[in-house]
This record gives sequence, structure tokens and C-alpha cells, in this order.
Amino acid sequence: MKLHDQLNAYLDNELSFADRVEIEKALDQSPELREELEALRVLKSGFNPLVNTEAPTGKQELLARLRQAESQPKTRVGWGTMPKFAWGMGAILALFSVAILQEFRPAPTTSISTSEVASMPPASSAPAMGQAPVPTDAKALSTESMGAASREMASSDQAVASSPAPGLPLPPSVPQRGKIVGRDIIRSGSLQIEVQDVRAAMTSASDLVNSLGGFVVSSQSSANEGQVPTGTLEVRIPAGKFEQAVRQLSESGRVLNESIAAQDVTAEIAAGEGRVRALADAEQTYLRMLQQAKTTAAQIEIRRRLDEVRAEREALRAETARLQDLAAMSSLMITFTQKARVEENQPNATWWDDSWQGASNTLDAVGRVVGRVAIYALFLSPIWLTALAWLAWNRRKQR
Amino acid sequence: MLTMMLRRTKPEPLAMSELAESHYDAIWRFCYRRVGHDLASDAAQETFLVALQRQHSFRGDSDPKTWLFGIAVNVCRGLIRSRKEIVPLESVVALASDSNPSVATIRLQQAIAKLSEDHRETVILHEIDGFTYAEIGAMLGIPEGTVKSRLHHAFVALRKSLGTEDAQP
Repeated sequence: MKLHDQLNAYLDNELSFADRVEIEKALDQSPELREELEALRVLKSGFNPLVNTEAPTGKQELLARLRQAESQPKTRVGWGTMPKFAWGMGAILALFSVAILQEFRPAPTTSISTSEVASMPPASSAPAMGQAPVPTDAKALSTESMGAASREMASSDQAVASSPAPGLPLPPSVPQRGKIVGRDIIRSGSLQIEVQDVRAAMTSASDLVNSLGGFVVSSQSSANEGQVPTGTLEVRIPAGKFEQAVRQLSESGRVLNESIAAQDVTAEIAAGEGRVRALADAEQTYLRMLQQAKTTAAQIEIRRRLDEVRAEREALRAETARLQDLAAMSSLMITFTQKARVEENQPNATWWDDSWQGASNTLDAVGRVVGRVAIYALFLSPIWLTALAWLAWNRRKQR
Repeated sequence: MLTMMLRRTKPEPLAMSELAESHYDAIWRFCYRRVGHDLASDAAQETFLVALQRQHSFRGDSDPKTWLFGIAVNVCRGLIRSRKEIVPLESVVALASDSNPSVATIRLQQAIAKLSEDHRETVILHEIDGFTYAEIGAMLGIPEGTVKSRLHHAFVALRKSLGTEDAQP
């Protein structure tokens, strides 16, 4: 800023010491600057008559209102009177509460009983996991129409529906194929569950699978000395009740690992069925040609072709039937492990080990809570940053 | 750290009636110059009532008088915006202590009235109400350097305005 621009601040005694010294040095050397300073001083002195000494009005009225307001006890705490610090602390506490509740929520350890299984909602009401998008065009089928289509398919291809897959027994009733309307989905999965009693859990799981229309393919358990008892069940479950089964099995203990996979084989099945029909037509054609053949050589050639067509048709039919069976009955591998008992595994545990373990667990839990809070705060940053900006703006406006 | 936070969030409660006792006259005169005699009482009272509502937001960083004047600035601005028939500044300032103001004073009043609102506000706060640059900056929510700059440009404009009138026959 130029020296001329500093004259007003110099007269107001608002300059720093260095600037003041500089101005005074310039004033000593410049008569023009001194003249300007004097003119400014005269102008500023012209303000003196403008200082208003008129008696104010309304003071007593205001004082009465203020004293009345101050004498009244504050029984109501309004939004505006609450300190912003309290709001901030409340928000942080709420975040911590949510994180802690999620962190320390007890895992359900209820066992499955036959009566509970009976009272479970039907599979159709269970939420679909990994549900494929339903076609939105006019050809989209409802559940009812899909059932009719399935029945029609079953009647037109009786051999397929009734032929068991190699090595696998079929349940008493053939369930409807695929849960998702209009799609054939092969689902498979694995569960690893920690339970209190492996044998009881396997029995409950078998009962549950049977009650849902499924069956146990294989069962294996081990309880060697010095090892944690384990048991493995391989089961097949009707596709429509797969998710219900997984959910109920998960409630039998603490789920250590869960893996679910789905494969859409609608196109493969449709292509296979179309190919089978085409081969059936070809077979009929060859049969007619065989009846009309007059030479032995022609009959032999036609029969050879006929055998080839029949072999291919049967292979395709078997493959299609296998896919349909896989889509109708989902497979699930369940591994039960027995919950280790601390007193058995640590017979010589001392107070130091207990304390160390407890402190480690607490530190781990606190770390997870802090992490959760940080993620929540980051995720909700658009909200609280907006609120902070609004508060800052409001404070600036009030000032 | 916690002590600092608690101290910041729990400032000493302001005795508003005592503040009004001390500063009402100054606030009233400030409002008088901004909105005229008829509205000065309303504006001054509104200033203290707003301060009563917002006393929890007063952090004690500045002088309560500066804080009150900051509120008064906003109250007067609101009144000026809401009412078109505010008394012009020259007629307000003419009602000064001197019932027979000199020609120079009247010309100065007219020159002040020609200033922009920001410059006029700053000049009045400094030259008539006697606030320092820092206090004005706190009231208006602007840096101290801006106050200094506004005053410089306001005085340049005043000198130019008064000089032009001197040159006229």
C-alpha cells in the first residue's frame, strides 16, 4: 500500500510501529504529504459535530422485559439453546452406540427342533439370494404359470422326470424345478458351523433337510482322541427351499464359513430340449425311410443313421435331465465343528493368561469399533459436513 | 484439552439487563443513524432481544459491546431491507447535538450520504462510534485490512465529493 493510502490509518493510530516510523520519515521529507495529512485531519475533525447526544428512548421498557425474562426459570430447553458441543457429542455417541451394538450383538445359538421347523414360513416367503432378474417383457411368467409349464414339461418328457440320476436316490416327490420364475438355476454351497454338540447338530440338520423335502447324500463324522470332533453332511435340498435351509442351519451355531454359488443353466436346458425334439423328428423320418427302402444296402445305411440319432438323442436327454435335476435339487455341504472348551484346551491357564486374553479381546473389539465409527463417519460425511458448514455459516451470520 | 473444550462450550452467562444498562444508549444512537428516530428504539430493543436468544453462542472471544454492535448491524440491515421509507442519512445526521449545524457539517453529511453502504457503515462505526479497526472487523465479519481499505477509499471519496462542491460556483 502506498504512503498516501496509509495516512488515514496513521491518524487513527492503527499502524504498526515500522509503518509509523516510515510514514513519519516520509512526512519529514515531503511537504505535499504533510499537506495531505493536514487536509485529512481537518476532514476527520468535521465528524465531531455529528456525534449524536440525543437522549435514547425505550430503554426502561427494554430493561423491564429483560429482567422479566431473566427472572423466569428456564424450564424448556429449546433446539437453539442447546450447545452445539452437546449436539456434536450426541452424534458421536450415537455413532459409537450403533457400532458397539453391531459389534457385540450376540450370535444366535438356538437349536433346531421339529416343532420350530414346522412353524417356519414357507419357502416362497423367504428372500431370494442371488436372484436373477425376472424378464420384464410380456413373456414373463408368473409362479402359477411356471408351475403349469413345469407340469406340461414333465408330462411330455415322462422318462426324464422319472429317471433317477446315476448314484443319487430321488426324494418321494419331485419338487418344482428352480425357485426363480422362468429360470433354471443350479445352486450349491458349503457351510462350516461351530456347534456345542456335533452329533446332535447333525441329527437336527438331517431332520431339517428331510422335513424340507430333501435328503442326505452322505454323512461322515470323526471324534478322535485329542482332536476337535467334526461331522460332514452332504445334502440335496429342493431349490425353492435352499435359502430357508441355509438360514435355519446357520442358526444352529456360529457360522465360520459360508459359500453359496449359483449357475444359470436355462439356456443349456432349453437348447438341449430343442435338440432332443429335432432328433426325435429325424428319428421318425429315418423310420419312414426305412419302411420305404428297397435295397438291403439302403436299409443298413438308414439303420446305422437311425442308431446314431437315437444314441445322440438319449445322450442329450440324459444331460438335460441331469441339469434339470441339479436345478431342482440344490446341493449343500455342511461341516460341523465342535466348539472348543477353553478349560480343556488350556488346563494350566493362569490369571496372567486370562488377563492377557481379555485385554487382547478388548483391544480387538475397541479397534473394530473405532474402525466402524471411522467408516460410518466417512460414509455419512455428506450429512455432517453439510451440517458443519451450515453451523459455521450460521455462526458467521450471528456474529 | 477437555478443559478447554468445556470452557469453550460453557461460557459465563451474560447478564443481558446489565449489558443493556451499559450499552443501550450507544446501540440506540447507532441504530438512530442507520434507521432514523422512529425506528431506533425498535431496532435497539430488537438487538438486545436477539442477543438474549443467542447469548449461548457468545464465546467470549470479543468484547460484549462489539458483539452487540455486530447484532445491531444485522438488525438495522434487516430493517432497511424490509422498509423502503427509511429516513435518509443526511436528515438523520442533521439532528446532531448542534441544533444549528454549520454549512461544512451539512456538506459533510451530504457527502457521507453519497457513500456506498459498506463505506458509510464503516466510516460511521469508526469516526462517530469510535470503534477500532479490529472491532469493526469483528462486527462486520471482515478482515482488519478490509476495514482499513474501506476507510481509505471512503475518505478519498469524501474528499473528492467535498472538493467538487468547493469547485462549484
